[in-house]
This record gives sequence, C-alpha cells and structure tokens, in this order.
Amino acid sequence: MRELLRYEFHKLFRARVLYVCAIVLVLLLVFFTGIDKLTELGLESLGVSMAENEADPASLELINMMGMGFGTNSGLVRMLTALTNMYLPIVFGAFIAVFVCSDYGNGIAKNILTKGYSREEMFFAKYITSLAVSICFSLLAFLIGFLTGTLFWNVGNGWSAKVILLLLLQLLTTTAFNAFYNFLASWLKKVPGTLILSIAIPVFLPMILTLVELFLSNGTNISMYWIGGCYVLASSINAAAADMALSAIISAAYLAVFTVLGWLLSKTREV
Amino acid sequence: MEHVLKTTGLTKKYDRKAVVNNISMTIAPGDVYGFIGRNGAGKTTFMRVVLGMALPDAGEISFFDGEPRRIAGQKIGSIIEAPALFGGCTALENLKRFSLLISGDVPDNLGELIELVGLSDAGKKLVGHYSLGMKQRLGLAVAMLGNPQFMVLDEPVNGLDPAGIKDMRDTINVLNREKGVTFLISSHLLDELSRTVTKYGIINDGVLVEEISATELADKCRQSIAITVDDTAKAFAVLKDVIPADDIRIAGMEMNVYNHTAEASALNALLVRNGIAVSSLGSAGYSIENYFIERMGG
Repeated sequence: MRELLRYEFHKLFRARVLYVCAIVLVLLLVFFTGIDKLTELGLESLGVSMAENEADPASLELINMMGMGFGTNSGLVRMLTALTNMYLPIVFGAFIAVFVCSDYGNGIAKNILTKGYSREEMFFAKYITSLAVSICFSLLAFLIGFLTGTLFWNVGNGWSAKVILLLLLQLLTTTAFNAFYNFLASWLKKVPGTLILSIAIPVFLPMILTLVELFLSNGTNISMYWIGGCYVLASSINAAAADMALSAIISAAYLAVFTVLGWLLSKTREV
Repeated sequence: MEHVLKTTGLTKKYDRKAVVNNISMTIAPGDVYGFIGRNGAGKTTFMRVVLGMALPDAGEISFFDGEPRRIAGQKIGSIIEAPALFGGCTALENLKRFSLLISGDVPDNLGELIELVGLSDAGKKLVGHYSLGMKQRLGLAVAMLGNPQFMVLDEPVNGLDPAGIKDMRDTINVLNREKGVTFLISSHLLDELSRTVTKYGIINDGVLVEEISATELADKCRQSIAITVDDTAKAFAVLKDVIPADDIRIAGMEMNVYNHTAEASALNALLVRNGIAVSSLGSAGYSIENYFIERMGG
C-alpha cells in the first residue's frame, strides 16, 4: 500500500489537472467576490445605502432580493462562505473524475492489479490521494476567501474559537464530497460519464430539492440534507449549535455511506 | 519450485456462458508456454482472470508454489491486450511511475531498459504519439521492470514489423535461456510461436483441449510413410539394412518410416521381394497448422 501511495502522489504532482483545478478554484472565488463588490459599488452609486439604519424600504427589498444583506462582507465572512458557492465542490469533482478514472480508462489499473495489489488497495490509495487534494483545495478556498474579503472590505469581526470549529465542520463536509465523487468514479470508471455526473448532481439536485420544498406544506427544508447544504449550515459565525450538529451528522453519514458503497463497488468491478 | 502458475478448475462466465471453462493447467519453471486458440476461444480472458483483472466464478490460482499474491505479483510482468501506458508522458517517465508500483523506488537502469527494447531514439517524444510497435516495445519494457520471474504476454508481436518480431523473439529467448524467466504467451502466429515455445496449450470455446510439449508436437507433425505389414519384426530387419534403424517406429502392425518419404515405392518393393505382405502404404503426419486447426475445432 505504501508503494501504491507513493505512485499516486508521484502521479499527482505531475498531473496537469491538479494545477488547472487549483487555478479555476482561485479564479472562481476572485470572480464571485469581485462581482459582489462591483454590485455593491453599483448600488451605492445609485444612492442605495448599504448601512442597515439608513436604507429605505425599497432599497432594503432590492438588497435582500440580490441576497446581499448588510454587513455581510468581510474577510471572515468570505472565508466561512467560500465553499457555499455551488461551483466549488464541482472543482473537486472534476479533479477526482479525471485523476481517478484516467487509470481505468488507459488500462493502467491492469498493471496495478498484476503486481498483486487488491482492488480495495487501489480504491483506497486513490481515495486518500484525492482526499488530500480536496482538503488542500478547501484550505485554499478559505485562504482566497479571506484574502479577497479583506482586500475588498475588511478583516471582519467575531473572530473566536468557533471559527475554527466551523472550518473543521466544512472540512468534514469536504471529506463527504470526496467520498461521493470517489463512489461515482468507482461506479462509472470513465472520465466523461463521471465528469458529467460530478457536475450535474451538485448543480441540479439542490434545485430539484428546492422545487420539492415548494410542494411540501410543512415547510421542511430538505435541500439542507444534501451534502452541499452542510456547508451552508456551518458558514455563519452566528450558526446555531443545532445547525452545526446537523451539519456534522449529515456529513458523517454521507462520508460513511459513499465510502462503503465505493469500496463495495471496487471489490467487484472488472478492470 | 514445482510450478510458476497452477490453475485448478478455473472458470469464468459472462452472461452465464463459460468463457473459461474448468481449466486446470500447470506451468513449470523455465517453460515457455504457448497458448493457442481461435479468436474468442478464451485465451485473453484466461490471462485476465489469472492476473486478477477479472474475478473467477470458480477454481483456484496459485503462483510460485502458493506464494501470497502480493509477493508473487512483484515477480510477474505482463502485457494484456494493448500495453497500458501513460500517453502524456515520455518512455522514461512511464518506467519511473511503474517502478514506484513495484518497489517504491526508481532504479538507475531505466535507460538501459529503454535501449534494450529499441526505444533509445524516442527521446522526449510523448507515448501518446508512439506507433503501435513502439508502444508494444515500451509495454515489454514495463513488463520487464523489477526482473520478473514470470511474464504473461498476450499477442506480444502485435503491430511489430519483421525486425521487431525478431527482436521480441530474441528477447524472450534470452530471458528464458539465460535468466530462467518463465513465459505464458498467446499468439495467432504459429510459426513465430514454434520458434520459442516449449509447451503448447490448445484452447477451444473456453476448454483446454490439449497440452503438448514442443518435442511431442514436432514428433507428431513429422511426415512419414505409414506401412501396415503382416510381420513387423521381419519387415524391420529388412528395412534396417538400407535405412537407419532410428528412422523406423513400430506400433502394433503398423510401421512409420521417417526421413525417407521420397523412397516409398522403393521400400515397398523391397518388402515385397523379401516375402513381407504389405496391406497398406501411405503418407502420414500433420503440418503444425493442421494439427492445431483440427483441435481448435476448425
């Protein structure tokens, strides 16, 4: 297993997809932060005050419609909300689809099995490597979010140990996404199919769940039970303990389920 | 060591059809085992199951007298179907990556290996731009990493030009004779196999129809005159005065005379003159091709 991990990490640092995905992640964060800042500047140029106690009702309505709120931007806020952008987990998925599935697509997996490695070893070596990348991408997102937020607004208020806890909860959610994407890769073993599902599911499933919510009379917020919802539950310095606990439980559940499913699939699939 | 590979009742089914059907075979150390069969006979599937790429439905596989698979795997090299290579890397980078799988380290002699398979001129060309023959050569280099004791080659000369085929044959012969590497090779090129193989396995519709050594096959495929006489002892005494005794084989009331097929009528006349009744006389023996075609159900 040690040799297999050395092989995977050797391949990782020479994989173009790693650096492309890292750049895309940074650009996405800077882009969306920049858009928000420009929108804010635009509103202010129209005379809309971004200070809560000065805005008129019409301005309030406009600002709320745009999802901007008051005092919502700072280095701290951008750091905590970096991963709530639905496009960022897709970057993880794209990386895993290409990196994990390429060995199956080009037949390299045959050579790995010939050397006596088991299917489980092969699955977990790729799982661990992609987990390391996903966590690094998450840390990078936190850093870029903080830097851009600080650059465009300010460092932010409310720093405490709770910030660390919230970030750790989001990293737990990242591990759940990693398990999900590895499950897709283990199931499909083809780059195109895995890539399509890695993009489509995180984009469309929350939309579908939100639509379903409209038809539920009891007002249940079922979209929060998707993996991406766990980022949202742990993205505010004012997050309730119950929400944080829910984020942890849901993330852990997805992590366990998709890890086991991916492992079971890897044991039986032919190469 | 008694066996490099031993399978017992190995079976693999796809859609309930047995593509590999209850195959029990043994490859001894030093063998060059040639696997012969028609397209779709099950040769490649057998190799894939043996190497772990496909999971068997029944049977057992044992390497090197029952060594654990992980340890045995380090001593096995293979090319199955097309060579599995990193298209976006050079030959050297490919060998580095596969070396890490074997030992976790990159040995110093990778350049020698590239030279051995005739890819010195490839330089920094990416493998994705290689011809089929170049990929086959690099695939062989990858299979030779870690000095394997057993190599499984599926159609190894596929895509090679005549010079490449000769190089491949010479490499196999050198590895076998000088380093004692055992081979399992599948090929459609009977003539090419016959120059290398020490034992044949004939497979048809997933069933191992026959195993035969190269020596036995050569013997069966030798052309001879088959003569049925009433007194083989007397006939032998007459014939050995004119031809070497080693050229005469007796089985029951039939004699086979080798190496004198052009003298059939003269030998017949000699026997008759000496009072031996000849009830039948004709040519016997297979060409290698016909021998295999008959057993492959052709």
